[in-house]
Amino acid sequence: MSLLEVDTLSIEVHGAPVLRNVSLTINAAEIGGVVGESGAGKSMLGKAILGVLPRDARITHGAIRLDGQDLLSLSARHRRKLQSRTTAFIPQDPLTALNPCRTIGAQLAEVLPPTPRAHRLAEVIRWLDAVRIPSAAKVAKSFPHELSGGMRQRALIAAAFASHPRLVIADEPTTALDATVQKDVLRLIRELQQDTGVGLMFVTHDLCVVAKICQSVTVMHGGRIIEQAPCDQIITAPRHAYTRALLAATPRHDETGRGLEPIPPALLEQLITEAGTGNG
Amino acid sequence: MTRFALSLASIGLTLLGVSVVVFAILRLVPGDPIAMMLPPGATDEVRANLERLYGLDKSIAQQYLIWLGDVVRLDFGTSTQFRLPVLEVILDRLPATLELVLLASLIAGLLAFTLSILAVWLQTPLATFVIDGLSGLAQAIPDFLWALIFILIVTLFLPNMPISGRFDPRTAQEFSTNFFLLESLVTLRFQAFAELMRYAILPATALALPLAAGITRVLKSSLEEAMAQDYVMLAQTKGKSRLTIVLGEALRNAMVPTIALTSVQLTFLIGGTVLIERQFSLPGIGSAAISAVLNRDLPLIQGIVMIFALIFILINLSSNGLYKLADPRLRKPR
Repeated sequence: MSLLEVDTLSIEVHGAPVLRNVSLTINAAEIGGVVGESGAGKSMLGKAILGVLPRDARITHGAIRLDGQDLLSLSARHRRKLQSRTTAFIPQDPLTALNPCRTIGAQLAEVLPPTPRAHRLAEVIRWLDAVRIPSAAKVAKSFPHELSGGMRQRALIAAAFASHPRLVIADEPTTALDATVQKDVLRLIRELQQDTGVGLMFVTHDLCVVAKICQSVTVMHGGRIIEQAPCDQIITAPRHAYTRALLAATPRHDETGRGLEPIPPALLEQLITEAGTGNG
Repeated sequence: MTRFALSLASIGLTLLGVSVVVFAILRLVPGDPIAMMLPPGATDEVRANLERLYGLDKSIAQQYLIWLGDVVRLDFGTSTQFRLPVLEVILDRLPATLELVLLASLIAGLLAFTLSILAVWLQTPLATFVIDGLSGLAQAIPDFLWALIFILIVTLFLPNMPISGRFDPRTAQEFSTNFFLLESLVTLRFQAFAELMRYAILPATALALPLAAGITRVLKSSLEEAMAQDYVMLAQTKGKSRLTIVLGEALRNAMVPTIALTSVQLTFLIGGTVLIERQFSLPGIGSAAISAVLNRDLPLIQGIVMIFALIFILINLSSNGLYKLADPRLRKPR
C-alpha cells in the first residue's frame, strides 16, 4: 500500500475545472515530483491533499488516501487533527509564510509532538541546528524580519519535519530563493527526507530540480496529468511532446551554449483542444 | 534619555503653539466678557475698574505674556463665571469626563472586538451582513442622536432608569476623589459602583456606538486581510482551528491599523463629550466648556483647550508606543 494515493481527483472553482481526474501515488521514503507551468493545478493538488483548499474550491470527484485512510470521508475536525500529525507543508515564499508578529521559536515549538514545557526550547534549538541555522538559540528568540530569506526557509523546513510527519508536501520551496541558496536548501530537504524516511511530494516548475532529487515525476498541464514516469525516463526519454517542450525550455548548467526553446504555441493549442474534447 | 527629553520638548512646543492660537482667536472674535459681568446700568468707571482688574486694558501680546508667566507657575487665572481658579474648576470636573471617556472606550472596544472576531471566524454571509449592517447603523447616527434615542426609549419604557447626573443626590456616597466609578471599584464598594453605573451607562454607550462601528470596520477588514496570508494557510496545516488562527495568528497582525484608527477616533470621542455631558447634565469638562463659551469666560476656555490639547498629545504618544508593542517590525533593532 502506498503512503499517499490520489485517485481520479477532480476539483472545480466556481464551476470551472482546475483539476481533472488526477491520480498519483507517493511511497514512504520516496520523492515524487509534480511539474508544470503556472496554472497547471499543481499547487491546488498540494492544497487538496493538505486539506487547505480555498473556500470556493469544490472537490467534485475522487479520493485522497493516506495510509489507506480516505481523508475526504473524515469530518473536518477529525481530518485536521489527523493531518496535523501526519502531513506537513513547506511553503513557497519564506517571506510571507511566517507570522511576522511571532518568534521563530514559538512557530516551531507549536508543531512539536507533545513535549514537556521545559524541554521545548532545547528541542526547538535542536531542530534549528538540524537545518544548519547558525546561533540557533538566538534565532529561536528572533522575529522573522530579523532573518534572511534563506534562513526563514530553513526554519520553515525545520517546522515541517519537526512534527514527525509521514508525508511532506513542498510547494516550490526554492523558487523564492537565489541560486546559491537554492542548492543548499534543496540538499537540506533531501537529507532530512532520507534521514526521516518520509514520503515527499515536490511541486515545482523546474525539471532541473526534479532530475536532481525525484524518483518519479508527474507532468501536469491545465489541471490534467500529461505524463507520469520514473524520473530518469522523463529526463532521457520523454514520451509526450509537452514534456519534451518543457525539457527544451529548462536551463541546464551542464550544457553551455545550448539555446533555450520556448514551448511551441501550436503544442499548447493542441493541449487545450484535447482538454476541450474531454480527452483527459 | 535624549529621546524622552526630545518628546517632552515637542509636547511643550505643541502646547505653546496651541496656546498662542487660542489666545489670539479668543480675543479677536467679537463679544465682551466684561459686558457679561456688569449689572444693568453700571457706570463707565465700574467698567474701567473691572477691565483693569482682569487685565483687559492691556494689549493682547501683553495679556498673553502675563497669562503665560502665570501658567508656568500652574496658575491658569480665575474663571469669570465661577469666580474660582481655572485649575480648580478643571480638576474638579475632569474626573467625570475621563471616567465617561474610559467607560465609552471600554464598551466600544468590547463591542468592536467581539463583533469583528465573530464575523471573521464565522465567515458566513449572514453574520457578515448582520455585523456590517449594525456597524453601518451605529456609525451613521452620531453620538448626540444616540443619546436622544436612548433618553426617549428610557423615559418611555424604563422610567426608573436615571437620565441625568452622575449619581442620586439623595443617596449620595462619600468619596475622597471625583473618580466615583474608579474609587468605588478600588475600595470594593460594588453596590455603590452598580448604582453609579446605572447613571453612566447611557451616556457612555451613546458615545461608544459610533466609535465601536469605526473600530469594527477597520479591525474586521484587517483581520480578513491577515486571514488571506500564507502564514494562515501554514497554521491550518498545523491543525489549528479557525478560531485559534483568528485569535492567535491574525489578531496581532491586525492591531496596527486598529490602533491608528482608534487613537484618531478617541480624539473625536473627547470632543463628543461636550454635547453628551450637556444632554445628560454631567458635571464634566465638556459641559463646563459650553457654559464657558456662552458666558465668554475666556480664562476657563483657554484652560480647557489646553487640557484637551494635552490629552490629544498623550493619546498620540501612547498610540506610537502601542504600535511597537503590537508589531515587532516597528521596534528598534536589537
